[in-house]
Amino acid sequence: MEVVSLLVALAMLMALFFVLAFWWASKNGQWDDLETPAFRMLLDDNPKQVKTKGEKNE
Amino acid sequence: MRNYEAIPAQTAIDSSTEPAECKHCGNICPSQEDEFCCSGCESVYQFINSVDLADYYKFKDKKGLRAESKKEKFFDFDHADLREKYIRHYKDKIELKLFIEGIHCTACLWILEKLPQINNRIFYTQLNMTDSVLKLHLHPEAQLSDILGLISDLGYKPHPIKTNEDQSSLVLKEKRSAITKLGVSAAVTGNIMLMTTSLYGGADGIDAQLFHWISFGLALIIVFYTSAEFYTNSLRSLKQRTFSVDYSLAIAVLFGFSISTYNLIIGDDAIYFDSIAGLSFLILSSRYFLKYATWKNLGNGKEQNPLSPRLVCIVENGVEKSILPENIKPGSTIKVETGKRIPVDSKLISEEATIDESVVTGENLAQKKNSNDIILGGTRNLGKAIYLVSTKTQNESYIFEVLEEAKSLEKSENMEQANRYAKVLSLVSHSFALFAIVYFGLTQSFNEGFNIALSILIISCPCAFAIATPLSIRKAYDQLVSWGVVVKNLYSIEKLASVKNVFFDKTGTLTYPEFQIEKLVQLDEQFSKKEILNILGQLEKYSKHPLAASIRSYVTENSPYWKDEQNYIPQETLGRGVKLVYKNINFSIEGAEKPQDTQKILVLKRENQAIAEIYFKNMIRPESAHVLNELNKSLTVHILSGDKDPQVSRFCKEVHFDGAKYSEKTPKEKAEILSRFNDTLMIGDGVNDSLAFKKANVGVATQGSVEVAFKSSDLYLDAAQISLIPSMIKLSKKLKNSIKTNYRISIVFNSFFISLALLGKINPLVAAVIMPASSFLLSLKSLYVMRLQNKEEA
Repeated sequence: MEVVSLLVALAMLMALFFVLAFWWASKNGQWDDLETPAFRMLLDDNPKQVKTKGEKNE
Repeated sequence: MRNYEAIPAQTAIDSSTEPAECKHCGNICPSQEDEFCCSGCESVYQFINSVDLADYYKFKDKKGLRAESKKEKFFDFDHADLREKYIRHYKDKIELKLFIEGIHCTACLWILEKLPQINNRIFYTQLNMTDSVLKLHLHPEAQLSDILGLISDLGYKPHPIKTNEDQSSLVLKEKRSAITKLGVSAAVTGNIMLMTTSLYGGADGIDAQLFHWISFGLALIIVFYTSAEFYTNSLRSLKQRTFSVDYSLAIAVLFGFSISTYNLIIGDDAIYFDSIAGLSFLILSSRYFLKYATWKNLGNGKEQNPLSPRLVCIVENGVEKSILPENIKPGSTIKVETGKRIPVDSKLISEEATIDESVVTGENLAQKKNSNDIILGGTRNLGKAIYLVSTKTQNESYIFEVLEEAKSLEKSENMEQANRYAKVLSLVSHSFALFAIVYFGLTQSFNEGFNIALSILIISCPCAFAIATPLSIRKAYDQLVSWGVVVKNLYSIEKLASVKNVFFDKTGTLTYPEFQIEKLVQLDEQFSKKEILNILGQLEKYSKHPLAASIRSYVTENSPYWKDEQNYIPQETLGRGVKLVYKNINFSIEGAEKPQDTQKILVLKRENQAIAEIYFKNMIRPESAHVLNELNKSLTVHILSGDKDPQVSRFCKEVHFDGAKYSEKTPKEKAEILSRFNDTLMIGDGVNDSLAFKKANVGVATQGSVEVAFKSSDLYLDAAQISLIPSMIKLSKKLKNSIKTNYRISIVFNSFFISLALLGKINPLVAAVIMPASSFLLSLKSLYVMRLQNKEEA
């Protein structure tokens, strides 16, 4: 059963890693605005392309 | 030159039969040949095409885009002192935040974030659509008027946000800390649960020890980090000597942690780390859900109607100089241009002036002032430029003093009703816990007593209140938002249910804020109605008089193709009407000679011959009578007006209202009357109501309110529907009932499990299951009861 101790230690390290990642992202404003990015991803960078794709009317 | 590709095909077909739609904003053009409704739109259209952003029109809903603003409007912001109030300095850039009025679709996001391509002084832009705030990074020498002018040319109204009034950075901190806490709490709780699962699964010996100690380590994070707000809230309530649900939470977490740790050391299996973690996580998440709603209503952008001018022109030794209004000293000579607000209480030097005092009195007819009269700060100069001598500083001026007082009055942010229930329930369960410690401590062992007390605390803890109540309030909030209400104080939703005295302001709330044309009587058949409307439009197009605005909107409403013929410039004489030579004929508009107290009449004359009479009326909102009488059935309704008595009495007669009425009340008197009553609701729209909003248990501001009224109110009816008020009260009663049922269910539930615990039948596993299960059920129940409904159903 010694392997359990190793696995638990590994699991805790992974958990710590994710918590730190979460903390870092939050500190850098990842969750400041939860609405606009949903719209932003709909917009193409290059206007020319949108033109040929056609109907983007709401 | 023009890029026709970008125009939807549909417009081309329509234009053959109907007047053409403006290519930029979609409004109707003056004639079929025109492509644009005004020169502003044309220039914006060309501008958008010239920077290769013509796709703008592909995803854009054209409504409300009409370009009419000019860069000159923003020159004030280049004044060095004023500019400093809006910008933050960084090493090689400055930051400016704007509230953008008119954000309505994805295209707005697209073009506003393309601004750096248009102007090289703009380095970076980021739009937050939730609160319509645009963040810009600019070249340190960029002129704010250039930037604001550009944005306003695109059809938006930019309102710069002062750095010291920028709520968003404060909220940002709170937001980030809340979500970090929630995330950490979720991770820790999940891992503790994992450990505990293996324990319940039968781990024993050294493994069990390991799992318990890891849970202990993780629980430290719960106790010292994620639950910290329970302790700070408890301490604060303790100082204010009020009850708070956080007491129970703090006790449960701290007591649970200490006893579990003690049991871990002595080897007893009554260990509750998982329950504490679960409790803390559930409460944090339901609070996050509630807080998220409050973050949306910062009111950042509601600064559209500031009471004080941004800059004031003072005359020193014959030289005009502009300074910030807060720097005016008593005794300075001030020049106030047409349409601008008077910055401080001052004495008139000019011979006469026409002043709009509606801010102070609620009376919306222009007042005439003579030399040496005192004019209050915050009122508006309607006539030509006037000179005044300030008698006070801005902070000492009457209306600003009232506002300051309103600002300083804090409203309790407590869920009164819910707290009263929670108080009883917590008291009962805490005394049972105490009883368990003493009784079992004496009869069996203190350890046994502590364990039983702990299971009582964990099971009976405030699940119903700390979790289900915020959810119910949030649902009620969502409901109000769907009706078009801006909720500024979440706790006021619950207070609405216990309102007994309702106070209505008259002007602007029960009536329309401005005068409207009741009828236009033609006296001379020689002119068609269209011609008369055209002449009225040409006469009044530039006037700042309140009646002129009503005439303008009447003209555009009844004659949609009316066009400003710019080569005809009308002459306005203060207090004597407007004259214009139109196509070699003298036209004039002036007040009627026969004075009538209740009705305002203007006469249109051609070469001194009256050709039409215009009757004005302060129109009553169609729903006023119904709302007043509906509310008067079950509550006491009062009318609280700053207007003079004949108007108030006449109004009451017209809506068949026979309740209490007060007239000619100053802002301070209004507040004083309110403090004489209990359980009050104040509904109004003006600055003169702002103090009353704070004194009332609930303050509701209606659409068109000035910024300050908005700021001091609890709820704001965006849709100007006072007819919503009865529904809002009903919703609040439903909320109160939902909280009450939660309380009842909790009593039944808790008495059952407390008895089991007292009999010693509850072990940690059962507690760990029961606690979240009951919270979950109550939450589901609350969400169901408070589900969204239409106005009619509610």
